[in-house]
Amino acid sequence: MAILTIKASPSGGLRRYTLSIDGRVVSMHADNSGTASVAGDCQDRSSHRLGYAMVGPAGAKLDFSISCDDGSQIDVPGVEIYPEGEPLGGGFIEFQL
Amino acid sequence: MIRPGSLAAAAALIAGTFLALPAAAEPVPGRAADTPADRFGVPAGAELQFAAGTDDKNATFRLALPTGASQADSFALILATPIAGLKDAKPASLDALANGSRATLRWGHFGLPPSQDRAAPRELEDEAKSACSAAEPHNNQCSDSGYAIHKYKLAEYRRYLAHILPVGATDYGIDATVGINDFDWSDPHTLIPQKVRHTDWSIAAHIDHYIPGAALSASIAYQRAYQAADEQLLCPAGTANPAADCKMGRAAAPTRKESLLLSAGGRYRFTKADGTLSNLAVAPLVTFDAIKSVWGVDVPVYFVPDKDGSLTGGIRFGYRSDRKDKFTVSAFVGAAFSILQ
Repeated sequence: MAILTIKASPSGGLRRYTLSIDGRVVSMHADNSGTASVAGDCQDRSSHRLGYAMVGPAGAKLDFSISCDDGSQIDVPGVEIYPEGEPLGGGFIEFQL
Repeated sequence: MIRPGSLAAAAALIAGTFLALPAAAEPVPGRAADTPADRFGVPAGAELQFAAGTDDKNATFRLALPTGASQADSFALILATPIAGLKDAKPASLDALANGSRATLRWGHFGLPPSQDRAAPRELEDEAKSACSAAEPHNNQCSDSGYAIHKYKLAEYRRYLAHILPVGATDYGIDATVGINDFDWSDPHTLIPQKVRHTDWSIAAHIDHYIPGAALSASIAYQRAYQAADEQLLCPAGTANPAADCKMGRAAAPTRKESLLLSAGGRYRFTKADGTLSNLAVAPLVTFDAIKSVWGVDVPVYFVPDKDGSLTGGIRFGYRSDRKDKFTVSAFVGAAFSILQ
């Protein structure tokens, strides 16, 4: 079991977001940080899905910084709300430990 | 902008939260800038904020009250007072609560369920990600289904969002405001200046539901506030020199006004067959003044884009049950269309 620490950085007037990893909701605190446990071990190259949903104006963004409990950083792109879906944005990001 | 004395002004003054009855060539006002976005960066405990703008000539202190660990809830005490001179702060308008010293207790909740992985159309995701990886092999954004589908399967994008966010998002809240206003007027016979202080209050609730490309909203707002009399030319009895002796002033004490407004509406921006935005949007709104038994319907149709692609103008269809000419059609240019309130 690996413990992930997620730090989110909302910008551009983003009003609300929710995150999940492998289908389990990540409880984010008021300082936009949270933790999640996933199957596998840090740096074992196992694949996982970060789900995100957000509300805001077109162009609002959400960046992530995710680290595993051994200190390794996980590469995850930032996401944004596109005009065609405004005011909602969502999707799933595939990442590896 | 809102015309003082109109039902639109009465609707908009209640914490800037509610939409208005129609008035020709007037854009539908949106919710005030104090949005749930303020919760980002606000610590879990209380915080004192200061904001002052020269536009509204008010100093505002906001105390963000603790709501626990939840990001979905916001709770705040907002204190505001005029800072630019009492005369500026007391115009002869219905906007009593917005122009005097006031305190607002605001609670809000913004519900957004997480994306539903089981509902995600994996085949569409895989096709879009494959196309993305082929075209942008070094872009890590291709691992994001939202980015890939938006860029390479745009016609499917709204449908994809509706799949993974079947419930959408819901924002609701309550504002309770108490305000104190001072009024100056003159006795119409003696012209002796008079002063009186009144306490006004309002309570309002709103709910907005968001889905991809659209919003549905409803609100109810009650306000009891005093309204200054209109200004007029006041002259001493039997004056021989009106140019020197007469002045503009109010010749009557303020009167109490009540309003109870219920409204429901929607906002939608159309897309083309290829998924790109079209230059067409609508924002219908029905409002009912329960005290005056007045119905209003406002249907602005936006189709005039500005240089940035935002829709800022169009034609507005209106109906007011209390007017002789109940139906109106007018062109308008104003604030850009926005689905978010």
